[in-house]
Amino acid sequence: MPNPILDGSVFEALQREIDVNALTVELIKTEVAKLDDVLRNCTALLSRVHSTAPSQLSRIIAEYYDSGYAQKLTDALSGLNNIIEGKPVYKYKPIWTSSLQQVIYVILYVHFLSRVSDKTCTASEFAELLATPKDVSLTLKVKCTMTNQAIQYTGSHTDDQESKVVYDLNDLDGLWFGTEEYLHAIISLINELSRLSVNLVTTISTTNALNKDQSDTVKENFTLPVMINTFIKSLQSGFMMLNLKNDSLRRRFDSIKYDVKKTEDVVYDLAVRGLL
Amino acid sequence: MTLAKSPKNEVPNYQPAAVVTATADTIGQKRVAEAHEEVACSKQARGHGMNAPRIDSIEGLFQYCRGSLDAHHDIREKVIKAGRDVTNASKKIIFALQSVRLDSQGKVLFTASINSNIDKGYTIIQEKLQSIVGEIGVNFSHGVHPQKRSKYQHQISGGIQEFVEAVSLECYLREGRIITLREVQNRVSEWVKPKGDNPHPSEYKTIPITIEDFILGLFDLTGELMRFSISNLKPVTASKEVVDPIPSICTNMLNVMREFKTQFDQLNLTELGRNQDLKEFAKKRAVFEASLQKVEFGIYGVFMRINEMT
Repeated sequence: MPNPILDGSVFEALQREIDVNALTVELIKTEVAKLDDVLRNCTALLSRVHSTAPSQLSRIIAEYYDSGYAQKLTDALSGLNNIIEGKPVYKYKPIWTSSLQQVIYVILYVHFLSRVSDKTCTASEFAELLATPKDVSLTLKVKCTMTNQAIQYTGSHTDDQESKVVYDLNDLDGLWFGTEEYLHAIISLINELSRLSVNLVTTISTTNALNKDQSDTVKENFTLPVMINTFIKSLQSGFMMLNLKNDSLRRRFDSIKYDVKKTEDVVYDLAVRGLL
Repeated sequence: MTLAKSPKNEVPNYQPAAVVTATADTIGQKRVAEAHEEVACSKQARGHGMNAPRIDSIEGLFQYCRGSLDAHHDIREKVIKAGRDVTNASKKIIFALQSVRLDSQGKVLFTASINSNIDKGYTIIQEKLQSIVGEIGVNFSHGVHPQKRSKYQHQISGGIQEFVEAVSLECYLREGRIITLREVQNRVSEWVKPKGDNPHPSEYKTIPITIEDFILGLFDLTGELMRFSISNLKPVTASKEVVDPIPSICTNMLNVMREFKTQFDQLNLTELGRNQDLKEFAKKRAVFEASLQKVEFGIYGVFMRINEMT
């Protein structure tokens, strides 16, 4: 018989809530651990980019696809999605956010590398060096709150058309990423590219030293560090447009300027030596 | 404000839960036919006089991000402000309720001015909750998880807890029982539902009262019960004759608090772990235990003095 003064069922409900919560956290952590495993494999492979000459980059990209990592990432994410579907996403989001950012970063990096190793890509198409939220969403098969924007802006439109920015969807179920995750991934990309810029000079120089008897057409040139410099500068100016509050995004944004400076120094050093 | 609206059928098919654009004010009035095309929190981006951002350029992409981040911060601040106002109004209601006095029979006496202060408080809370239902409301009708919540739940939690404290204290003083979560939820849902002829529950959103917020609100209530019973701990007298050594409401309050303790002690909290929502429990529980002992000690004192006099 229920207590007429105090309905004790709410405490039972709370207990259930606590138990379900503990169980859910366990399940999510298991899935995130699987995702992190694949991520470690990916980053291990991609770290070899730093000791690879630009002309050989396509090999690493090919290896990335042949190894099935792309598929494994999608699988791990879909596993995570299955666990969190129907559950209060915001409650558990902190558990997977950083891994999800890392996955997006991998996609951005691979996209960048495939673009620059593609000979038909010219340095002027900077937008093409960056995978759009829609690209990321389609590659990972993960929903994205920015996707509709991507769809509507790639089509033709007139300026008088009214539209809204969907920031957030309380009822969007399952796994998704939004502006913040994407921007964090871009910052990771900038961090990585500034390191790559330095290492490219080394790999290009050593390759050219080995091939010094060959004709000039076989030799590698130093366009890629210049391209990286221009690319991350345009990303930096993009970030400067944002009104960042005092959060993790702001702190990481503050670090970009050192990356930009590093790539600028590389380009300067190349320029003064007449290597460009 | 120049962003382009996309036709719904452009939603790619890999995306089961389609994203549909809408503003908060269209929610509840216009319902998208497909249940999965649910819109929750959306907001028109601040224009900043820019042209329609083209997300296929880096600049356009960042313009989009700027709108999106600005909208996020605006909503966040709006919710925080509303939450603070709800807390304030709730505190005023509680203050009014604490000024309730007992009549010669030990019954609770609500004066007209107290009632009007309480109503004023509720009017403010209703307005504030209505103002943010578009931002933090969720729809309960799609068989979703009962603990569904919005991104901004954390920002409103404090206000909700204070509100639970106020309604539960009022309910206790008027009816002598602890209000249920369902009653509080229904009250809020009634407040925030759109005007018009009886819309179906699936057609509007409500602000969720989570179990955590409800129980934490009840913890706060025990503090108020303690305050009320301590300040009313004096013999009930009728024509100089002691009817009751202490008002029955004080004994009732003590019983309720003991019932709370029984319930709390049965909870297995070892699994609390890192859950943000439940972190406050340990703290509030300690305060509650202190309140309970204070009431017990107060009643003990009264009886001790009675023994002394006889």
